[in-house]
Amino acid sequence: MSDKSSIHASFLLKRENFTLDVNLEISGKGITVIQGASGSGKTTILRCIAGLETPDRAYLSVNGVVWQDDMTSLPTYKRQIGYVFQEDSLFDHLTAQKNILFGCRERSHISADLMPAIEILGISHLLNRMPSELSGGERQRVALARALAVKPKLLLMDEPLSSLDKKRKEEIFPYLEQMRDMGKVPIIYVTHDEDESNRLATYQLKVSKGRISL
Amino acid sequence: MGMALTEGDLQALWLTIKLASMTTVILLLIGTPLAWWLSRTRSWLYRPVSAVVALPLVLPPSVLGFYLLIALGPHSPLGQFTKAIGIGLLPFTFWGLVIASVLYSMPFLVQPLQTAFESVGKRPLEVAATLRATPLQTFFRVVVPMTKTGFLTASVMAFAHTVGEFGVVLMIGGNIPAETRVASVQIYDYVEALEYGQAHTLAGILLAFSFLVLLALNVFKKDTRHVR
Repeated sequence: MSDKSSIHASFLLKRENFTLDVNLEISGKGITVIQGASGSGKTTILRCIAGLETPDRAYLSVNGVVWQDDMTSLPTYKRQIGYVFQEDSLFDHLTAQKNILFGCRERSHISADLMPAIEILGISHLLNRMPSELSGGERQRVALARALAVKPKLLLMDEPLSSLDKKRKEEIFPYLEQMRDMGKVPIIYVTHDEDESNRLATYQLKVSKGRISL
Repeated sequence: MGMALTEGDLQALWLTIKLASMTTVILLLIGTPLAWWLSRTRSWLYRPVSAVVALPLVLPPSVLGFYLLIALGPHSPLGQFTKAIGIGLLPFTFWGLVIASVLYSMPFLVQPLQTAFESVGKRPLEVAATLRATPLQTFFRVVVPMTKTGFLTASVMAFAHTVGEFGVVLMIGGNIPAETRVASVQIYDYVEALEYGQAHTLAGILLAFSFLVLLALNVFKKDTRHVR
């Protein structure tokens, strides 16, 4: 792996009953799955990469650009990430389309280069609905489109399927596989589910008790 | 019972509305960042600051008015400052009343707003940050739309409470027609002069106003009671 197309991350974060101490080198391609039980620290790793936590020590570089070290730390809004949260995180006061365009400069309409993603996710007929009028699976697909709309250099996904039943999961899997195979943006995907991991992972990491175990 | 409004009554009502509007606008400008800070901070200053904000709820208005009279008076640094920059002394002026009202009505704006901000939670702010929104953009594009009802409640409470102010006004504003004589003071004057008919008219107007404001607020707010 060359420096130019990979992610180097090392975090030390001490909390009352928990210490995260990891050193990761993550590929700049495909899906890297971080798998671990609940409480293992896998979500905390994502939050550190996104700048949503303040670790005691941190080093993070993405494609050769340092986002965080002992001297500096980019605030979350300056990190070129997309983040899909575990639970439904759409803004309830905005339509699906306005949610998707929230992070875009041009917010009056969906730009041509975003249309393929909207088509693939199968949400073009839902754009004028409010989040309350969408099913759980639909909401999560809109959230995915919203994360892609900011053209991230790195897509972070925190158990995006865990709140969905099996049928809804099967709805979304193909999109994730397609995104992986198109290979435009590296994805770090956190899950506790081994099947999910085996199905999606280009690379696999296991976390337990705040450390990488594989 | 009631009698027609005199010119003095109309002046007093107009002054009351002007004072309450001005106070509400200024409170929104000062109180919003304050309520935001109170809803987010983990600083040790949280407790003392929220106690100071809540003081007017328990303090006799005459006490607040007394201290303000001294703080803005000719012998205080603040009073000498306002004189030096050509504003003159603030007690017994409309602007003196505005300052007093801002302090006196502060908790009625800050507390509902703080509660509304707290109910937003951390997650929407985090989501907005991952979508490139700066903290200020997040505030105006996420927090404000999510707390519209809170802003409305807070503004209405601050406005209505300023309309109902009496003790502070008397202490800091005195009773100058068209300058500081607001409706509540005018009613007091009528009663003192035993002109009950005039007092009835103004008092009835304030009663109706207060009831309608609270009714409108309740109608607008979603019914959050859990009645099956």
